[in-house]
Amino acid sequence: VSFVRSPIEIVYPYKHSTGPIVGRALAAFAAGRILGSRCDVCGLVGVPARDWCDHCGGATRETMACGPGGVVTAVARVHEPTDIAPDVEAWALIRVDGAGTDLVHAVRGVVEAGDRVRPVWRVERRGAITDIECFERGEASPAADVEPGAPVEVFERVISLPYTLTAGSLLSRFFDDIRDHRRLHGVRCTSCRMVIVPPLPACATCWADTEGWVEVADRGTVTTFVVVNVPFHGQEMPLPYVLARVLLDGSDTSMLHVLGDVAPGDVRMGLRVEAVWADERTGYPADDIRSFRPTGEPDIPPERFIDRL
Amino acid sequence: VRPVAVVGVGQTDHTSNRSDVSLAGLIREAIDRAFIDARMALVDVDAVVVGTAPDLFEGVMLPEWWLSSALGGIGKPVLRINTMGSAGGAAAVTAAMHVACGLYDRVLTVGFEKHSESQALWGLTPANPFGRTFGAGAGAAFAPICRAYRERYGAPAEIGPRVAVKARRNALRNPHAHLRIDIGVDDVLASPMLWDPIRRLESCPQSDGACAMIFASPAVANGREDVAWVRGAATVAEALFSPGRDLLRPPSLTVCADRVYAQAGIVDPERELDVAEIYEPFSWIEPLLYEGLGLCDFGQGWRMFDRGETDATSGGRLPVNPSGGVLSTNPIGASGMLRVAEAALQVRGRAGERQVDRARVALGHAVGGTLSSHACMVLAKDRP
Repeated sequence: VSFVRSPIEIVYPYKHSTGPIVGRALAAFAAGRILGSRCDVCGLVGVPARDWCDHCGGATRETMACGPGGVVTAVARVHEPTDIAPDVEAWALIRVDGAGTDLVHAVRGVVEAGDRVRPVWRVERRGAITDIECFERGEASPAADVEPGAPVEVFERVISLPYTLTAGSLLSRFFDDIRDHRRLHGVRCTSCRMVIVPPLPACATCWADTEGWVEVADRGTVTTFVVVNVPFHGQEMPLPYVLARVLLDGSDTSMLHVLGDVAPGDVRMGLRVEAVWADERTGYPADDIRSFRPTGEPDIPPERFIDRL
Repeated sequence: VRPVAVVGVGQTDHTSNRSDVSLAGLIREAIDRAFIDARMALVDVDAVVVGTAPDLFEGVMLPEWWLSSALGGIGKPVLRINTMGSAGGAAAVTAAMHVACGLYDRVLTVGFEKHSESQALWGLTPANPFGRTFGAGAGAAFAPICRAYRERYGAPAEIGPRVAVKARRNALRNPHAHLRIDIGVDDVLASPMLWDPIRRLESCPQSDGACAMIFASPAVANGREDVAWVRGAATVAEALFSPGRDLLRPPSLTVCADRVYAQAGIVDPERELDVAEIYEPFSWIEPLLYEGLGLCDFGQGWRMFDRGETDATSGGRLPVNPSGGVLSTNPIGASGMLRVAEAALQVRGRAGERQVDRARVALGHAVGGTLSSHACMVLAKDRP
C-alpha cells in the first residue's frame, strides 16, 4: 500500500490587546528604552514590564527605566540555525541592570556568562522586543533621550502552521479506488456488522476490528442537512449552499457533502440523491464528487434512517 | 473521596469586545472577583486548573504557561483541560476532583475566551487536507441536528425562536450577561437565517469573558454559610461520529447525567432539581438536552418547554438557564464553567435578580463538540 500524503497550511490572523503595563513596555522599546515594572506585593522588578509578577502573581503598577546594559546569566550557542531566527548565533539570559528577572534575547560575538552586555537597537522600531536586534559584549551608553510615545495597545500577527497529513492504509486505498475506478468502499464491523464509510480499522461504537472491503453505491439518501448562508474563513463554495449528510446505499454511516442541481428550499430529509462525478479525479471524494443531485426517486420515510443520521 | 464545596465564584461582565485588557487581564478580573467572593487570596491556592479551547482559538501556544503569572500559578501545579466547548465545565469537575481526592484544600479553576481577538468561530473548521473544505463553523455542525430534532418529534417551528426569547429575557436579569436585549418571537424570525434552520438570534453570541471558581475541602468550607456542596461531578466523551450514533440521543450525554444523579442520590431529576444551567449554543439544542439530561422522556423536550415548565419568568417548576444561558453569553472556554458557577450561585442564594426561589439543588451542564463531550455537576445547599 502506498500512503496518500497531503500538505496543508493553517493560516489565521490574530490580535492581542496588550493591557496597560505591557503596552507601555512596547512603547518604550519603540523609543529605544527598556522598561521594568515592580510587583506591588513582593517588590520584584520584572523586565520587560509585565502586568503580573512572575514570582508571586501580584499586580504591578509602577514602571521604571532599566538597563540598558546588563549581565549575562547563561548562554546557549546555536549550532543549526532555524528558519525562524536564521541569524542568531546564540541565545542568552540577560539580567538587565535594575531587573530582578532575566530577559531572553539573542547575543552576537563572543559572549559568556558573567559578561557585561549592551543592547544593539534597530534603526526602524515598531514597539516590540525585536526592536533590540541583539545584545553584544560591552558597556552600554546611556539610554536615548527620547520620551516613549503612547502605549502600544494592540499587537497583531499572522500565525501559519504547515503540516503534512498522511492517510492510513485503509483511507489511502479508499482514495485510490475512487481515483482509479470511481468506486466507493467501506469496511464491516466484526461485532455490530455495520458498514463504515470511509473505512476505519476499528468501529468507534463497538471498539471491534473491521474487516472486508465492501463496495457501496454512489447514490443514497439525505438524512439531514443545513443551508449555509454565512461567509466564513476558508470558504470555498459560493453561498448559499446545502451541506447534507448522505447515507449511501449499502453504508451504515452518512457522509458530509454538498448538494447541487436543487434549490435549497426543495431539499428535504429523505431526498434521494446521486453523485455527480468530476471528469478529472484526484481520489478525494470532496473533490471528485462535485456534488450530489436529486435522482427523482420517491423520498425515503425518516423512520428508515433516523438512527443513522 | 471527601466532600467538596464551592466557596467562591467570579465572572467578568461579558461583552463583545474587551480590548481595554489583555487576555491575562480579562482572566485576572474574574479571578480577583472570585477571591473577593471567597474572602481568600491568590497565594492561598494549592493548585490551578485552566479550561481552555484549542491553541488555534487564542493564537497562543500553551496559554496556561503564558498566563501562569496572572493565574498565580508560579510554583504550583497548573493543569490544562481541553474538552472543546465543555472545557470550562470539565475544568470545574477536575478542580472538584483535585479537592475530593484529598491532595489539595483550595483549588482555583478558570475558563476564558477573548472572541474579539481570537479565531474561535473558524478555528473549529480548519481546511480539509483531503479535498474541498465543507465545514462552516459550529452552526453548520449543529443545524442538521436541530433540523432532525424538529422533524423527528414534530415540534412546531416556533419552539426554537421561543427558546431564544426565553434566554434573552432571562439575561435581562443577569448583570453579567452579554446579550441583554428585550426581544420577541417576531424579532427572532426577522433575524437573518445563518445556518438554516438556525437564525442569528437563535445562535449564541461571540463574547469576551472569563469565569473563575474556587473549590475547597470541608476544613476550609466548614463554618461558612454561603457555600455550594458538590454532590456529583462527571465528564463523559464519545467518538465524534460512530456507526449507529443517534445524533439526537448522544450516549455521552445520558451517561454523564446518569452518573452525577447516581452520585447525588437523585432518582427523579425533573422533580428533585430546583434549577438547571445547561449548555445551549443554539435554540433547538435546549429541548434536546432536557431529554438527554433525563428531565423528560425522549421526544418530550419541546413539550416540556412549550408548557413553560422551564421558564423562570413565568413561574416554571424547573427553571432552565435563569442566567440567560449560552444563547446570551458565550466566551467559549468559560461558557461551560459559567453553567456550573451559575448553578453554585443559585444554591448559595447569591444569584441576585435571577435567583430562583428556594433553590437547594442545581445542575450545571456543558457540551463539547457536536454533543460528543459532556461535563455535569450537581450542586446543593446541603452538605453530603
